[in-house]
Amino acid sequence: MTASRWLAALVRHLREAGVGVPPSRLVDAARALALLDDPPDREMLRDVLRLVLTRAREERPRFDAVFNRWVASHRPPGMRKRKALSRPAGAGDADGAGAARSASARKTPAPSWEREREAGKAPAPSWEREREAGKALDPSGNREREAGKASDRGLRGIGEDVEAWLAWALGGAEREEESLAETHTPRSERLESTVNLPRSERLESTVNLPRSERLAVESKVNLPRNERLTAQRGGGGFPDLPLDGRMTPAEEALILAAVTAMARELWLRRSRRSRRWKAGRVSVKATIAQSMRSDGIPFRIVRRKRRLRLARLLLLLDVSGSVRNAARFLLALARALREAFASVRAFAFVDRPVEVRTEDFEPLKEPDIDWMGKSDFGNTFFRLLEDHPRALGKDTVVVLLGDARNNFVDPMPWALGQIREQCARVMWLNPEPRRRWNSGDSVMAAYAPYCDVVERCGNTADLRKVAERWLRYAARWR
Amino acid sequence: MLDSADDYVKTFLERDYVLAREPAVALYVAERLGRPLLVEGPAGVGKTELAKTLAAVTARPFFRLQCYEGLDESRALYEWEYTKQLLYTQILREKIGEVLEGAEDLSAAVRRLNERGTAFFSEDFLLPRPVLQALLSDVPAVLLIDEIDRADEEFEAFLLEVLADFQVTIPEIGPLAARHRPTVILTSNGTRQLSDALRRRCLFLYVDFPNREMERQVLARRVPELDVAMAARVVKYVERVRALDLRKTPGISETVDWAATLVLLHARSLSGEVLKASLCALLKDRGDQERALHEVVP
Repeated sequence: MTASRWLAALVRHLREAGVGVPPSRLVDAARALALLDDPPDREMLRDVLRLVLTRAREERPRFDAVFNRWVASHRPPGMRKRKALSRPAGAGDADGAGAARSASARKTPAPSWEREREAGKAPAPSWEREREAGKALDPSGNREREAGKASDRGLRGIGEDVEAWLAWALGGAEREEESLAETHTPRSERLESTVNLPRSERLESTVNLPRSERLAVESKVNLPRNERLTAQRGGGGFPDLPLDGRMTPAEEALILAAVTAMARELWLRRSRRSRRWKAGRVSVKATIAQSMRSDGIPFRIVRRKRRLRLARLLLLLDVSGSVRNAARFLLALARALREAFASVRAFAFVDRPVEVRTEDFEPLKEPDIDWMGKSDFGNTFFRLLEDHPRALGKDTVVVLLGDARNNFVDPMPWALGQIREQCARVMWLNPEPRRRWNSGDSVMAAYAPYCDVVERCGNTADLRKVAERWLRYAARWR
Repeated sequence: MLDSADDYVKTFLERDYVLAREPAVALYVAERLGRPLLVEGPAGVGKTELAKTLAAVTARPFFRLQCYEGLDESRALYEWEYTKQLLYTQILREKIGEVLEGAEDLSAAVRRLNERGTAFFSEDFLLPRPVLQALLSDVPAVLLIDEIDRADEEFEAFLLEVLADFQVTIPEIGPLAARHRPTVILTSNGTRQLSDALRRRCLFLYVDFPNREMERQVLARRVPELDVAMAARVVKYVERVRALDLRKTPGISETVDWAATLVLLHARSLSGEVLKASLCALLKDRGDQERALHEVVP
């Protein structure tokens, strides 16, 4: 594999893992690789590519995982195995290294797309198909002849024809998309066939479609009553789906995508409104003072700046039983809206709070959560006050998600009262229907007096209301 | 410009800056590719110092733009010198009279003035601010845009042209390209999310708190009077303090300050009394100090 293909494939895997790499970054990565020593040191290679190909801290763990997997199965051209370095001079020629590489490739399982290719199930990449058909765009005029040499040159060789190979690779990708589009059935037929599927299959088959098509399908379906009503009320094309119960991965992905898109839309709308507010009124005093510098001529109109103070968001999420799904969607909402707040912290709990790492906001990955424990809201509030006093402040909006089912232990409502005293607002979201509140071991009535808002959060439409409320709480103009 | 990442490590060390491998690689690649470098990390890990030391070791002019809410282009980029323009108008009154002499009517006079109007909106009347100073510098400069997360989103958008093309467009003059491409370093404490557009134009480096060994090296360089055993105790204590949920987690600069304080106090161990007397140099919040005193065993 040549250096350019090695890099292009790595970038493709990164994109699949959610690390967005624009084409300009690919060029930078190729140029950066050309700066490395030959043979490159693995750590150095990782540092350089991570520097160029990631844009945020959250992307770094994902990058590292993909990079380690990719380098383990496909050693970069020019990089030899450790033991090969200790071989006597002359023994480690290009062919030897190539043999070592192929041996290594046999031992490690190839990625799924490569296995499928070998089995003839998946098409070869566009550049290979075109080469076989004899119509490959040859960027440097002699790409095919030089391919072997580029491989021998290792990663440093990539910088010499980076522009050319990139143009070629990108052109190939576009052509591949075009050819795929040609083989597809027309949009109307595709949607029609999806609409008639049972709900779970429909969701599964539409999850990979563009958002507009997914919403078009949902609007055509003979919706259940509550979904139809939401559509009639003008739910903005946002599907109204329940957050509890068992879900297929497709349903979950659909809801997560819809929640994120909805939150971004609300945030953008809010930002535009904020910009208008931010301009502020004209300050006559300051304008006159400023005009003194220019002989009394008011060249510049000075406006009184409006200051925006952002609140901190603190999520306290019950992750036991049926509430767990709702907690994940609420975290997705918080992730999408985190720019609206000064900071976002999240604690998951069953009987005590455990901070959820903000890199991926994934409570299911937290090792400290006692999944076998019984819900204990009172102890959770008490432990939050004791162990994380700095999490609360006068600018903090505390959002609680839970069914308030306390397993008949002491609810300690006074602890929630203390939390309320130390923060700006407390908002309780209960995923259960209102008729079930205060039945059995539910102690919603004991906690409600200490909350500013108590709302149901059982479906995606409720999540939209929550998002709108959060954005109202998030910022205060001064 | 240095020749390898190792050269950066060596030359930074000569300036008492202990540079880890990853930032060294980042500086090397950023300078070679001519790309701005966005450095993100908690406060006090040496992000600003990184840029300052880079300018010092490469003997290049250093321009710093401290960002804050409400920062606009007149403070960051340029401003017209209105007073100078007015002064010149007064001084050149006779000359202007000559120019307008013989004008048939008002519109003809305006046309003539317009033909020469650009004279008052030229580089002579431009008051360059740090960004423009770095672009117009006669030698390659280092431009530090510090704490970009404190600036407004509009300001981020305004920076995009500078970061992508190393030029600015001034409406009255047109685009002004950099004479020499400066090394641009942006720092952020991560108090808010930066836009994707800005991130896309920069290389991204995350600097975290250093590990024990590195922090010990920093202390050995910055506070050589502190003995090795005491430095090890200091570093271990600071590491434990950082694990607490504090209002302000201490950075490297606070560790150095604390070590210097301990030297001044002739401390031989981290006893309760020594801690009480010196923690003000490490922790800048009373609640944090109390927590550290009660919860961290030296």
